[in-house]
Amino acid sequence: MTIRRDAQSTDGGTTLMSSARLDALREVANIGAGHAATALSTLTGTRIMISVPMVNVVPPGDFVPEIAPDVEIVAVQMTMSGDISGQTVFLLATPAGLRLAERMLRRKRGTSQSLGQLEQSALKEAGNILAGAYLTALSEFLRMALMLSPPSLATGDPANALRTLGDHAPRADSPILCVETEFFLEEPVESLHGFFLLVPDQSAFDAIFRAVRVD
Amino acid sequence: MSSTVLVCDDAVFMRTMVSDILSQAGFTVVGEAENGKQAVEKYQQLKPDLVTMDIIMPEMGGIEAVKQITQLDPSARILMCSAMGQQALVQEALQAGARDFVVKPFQPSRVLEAVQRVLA
Repeated sequence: MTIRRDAQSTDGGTTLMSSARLDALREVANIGAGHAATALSTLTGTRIMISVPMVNVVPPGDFVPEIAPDVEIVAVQMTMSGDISGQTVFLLATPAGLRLAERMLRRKRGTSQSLGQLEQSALKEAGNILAGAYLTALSEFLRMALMLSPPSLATGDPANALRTLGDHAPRADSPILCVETEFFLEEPVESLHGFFLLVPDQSAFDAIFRAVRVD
Repeated sequence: MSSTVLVCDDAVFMRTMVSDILSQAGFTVVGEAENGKQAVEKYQQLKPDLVTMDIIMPEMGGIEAVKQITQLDPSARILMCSAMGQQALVQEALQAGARDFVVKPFQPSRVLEAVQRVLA
């Protein structure tokens, strides 16, 4: 199973930003995601491919349902602080989350039926390692100090999962920009898709553009 | 007698993984802690030869725990194991008193090399 995307929300970024800024954000995401993919590959012993990063405008409110409508999800959220603030979210359909946990726990495929404590811990650690690698690369590229909070994990249908996250749930009062990369874990029998979302606060974008010297 | 280790990480997955790597290499994992505060308490109780320490943890992070442990015991040997590999953070951890730093995810051999270095 893969997470379906809302096609309407995928290309709005171009209308709000100059192409130079979009290019800069895509490059920032590419550097971060490249390092994160290497980390995920080491963690799972699997070849990982990544998509070309997408810069999206997400409507106000809870944005995860826009990205993952109609599927049960696992979301690992971390808060970013330091020179720029915002959030990172690692998002998978629940079956993909189970397969990833099995990979990390070196179990046979299909032997884990539900996300118990150990499986959830593995997925939190996957989110932590992805975000850590992503932000380490960004901090070097942007010459910024960046920190992360401990991960919070939520499961269920997207709206329910967000409620579980409580105060940590990613939401916005106005349209927000979201830099998104899709990961593909190549397995013999299936590809697992996961999304990594970098959701900088509005002020963080200006700091990013200053750092890469784009007006 | 094999060297004793206290493993500190908020993720049970990572504590299990690190404990397995160390146990299989002949070390004795004497305790686990899931945040910095527990690590400081367990360090005083268990007096391990080595502590492996995550950085991002709830309640008390790893760098603060390193400061408190080295204040209690300046000869404490602490190996940082974090997903955050930023140079500034590595330096901060080393200045706080950590002996070495490995970035997650790691191969078992990388952890064992660092452990041997710290214990040498």
